[in-house]
Amino acid sequence: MIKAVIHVDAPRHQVYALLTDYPSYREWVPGCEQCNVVSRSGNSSDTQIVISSMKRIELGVRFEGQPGQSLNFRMVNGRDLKAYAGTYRLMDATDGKGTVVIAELEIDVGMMIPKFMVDRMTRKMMDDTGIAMRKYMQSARIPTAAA
Amino acid sequence: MSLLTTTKQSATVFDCDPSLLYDILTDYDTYAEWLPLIAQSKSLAKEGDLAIAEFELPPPQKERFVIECIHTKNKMVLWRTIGGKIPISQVEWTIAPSGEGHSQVTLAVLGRVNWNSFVPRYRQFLNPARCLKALQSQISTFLPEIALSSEEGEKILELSETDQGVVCWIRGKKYILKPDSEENHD
Repeated sequence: MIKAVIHVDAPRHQVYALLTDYPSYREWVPGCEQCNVVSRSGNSSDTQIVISSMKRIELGVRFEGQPGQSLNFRMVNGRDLKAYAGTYRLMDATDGKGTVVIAELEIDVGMMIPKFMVDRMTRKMMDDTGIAMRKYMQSARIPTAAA
Repeated sequence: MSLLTTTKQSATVFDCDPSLLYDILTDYDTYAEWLPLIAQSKSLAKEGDLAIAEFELPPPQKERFVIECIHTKNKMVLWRTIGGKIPISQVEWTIAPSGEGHSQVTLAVLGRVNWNSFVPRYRQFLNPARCLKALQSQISTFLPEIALSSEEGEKILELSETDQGVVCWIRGKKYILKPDSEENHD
């Protein structure tokens, strides 16, 4: 499990709204070509995601949120990865000016690739996602209502 | 323990209650004042028994790293490093009462072996015995009397406010400090 901490200059409800605005992922998540909501029930959403990174990956991801607190996700279908799961936990920043997001991600590529290489790629992906999230929050108008 | 991890541990008894130690160890904004080889420290978020803090090493490394901290009030402060290149994965401060007004702190540092393990500065970072000695110094800023009980301690300066004015003792000599008149101020 790789962890990253992202400090975003926006209130927690806005960060949660961004993270649960799945169709917008293609606008800010690096490499995301597509993120369609297939079904939704309460705070749970099933999505179909296409990511182009070192290779094109297509997977179904189920998101389950606790509004304003956390968002869990895990792969529910797909052939390109063996496992893909993680969490975003949101905390109010101590300086009172924003939100601290603790991101956790576990990827199992299911191939003979050394774990340290997968971890390194995962870490880079998370760092890039953190930078992209901060940038997008600064530039875009984010819906304030939690999904 | 695997071949790629190391554990260093040290323990010291302090002349103070566990609550003071716990307060110092959970005040992430002040670590730079006392923990060796920390140039900057900042609390990023705190919620219940969980906190996130960011530390920065002094130059030339100037490496920043984030820690996730789990607290058990007056008993334990556990850090896990998130990201960064420092060759440490976990730091555990365990506080236990050790008789009336005394507490024992055990510091266990779990390291991971990577290329930075061979950089001298990183090797010195979070040396448990050194950190506990630094903690002792920090405690003495809250309880000056305990600094004198240290075998290496020496009273150099003492300030107290009395009816005569502010009395200052420097190496056994008494000085009385009186307020300067307003017109002499710059």
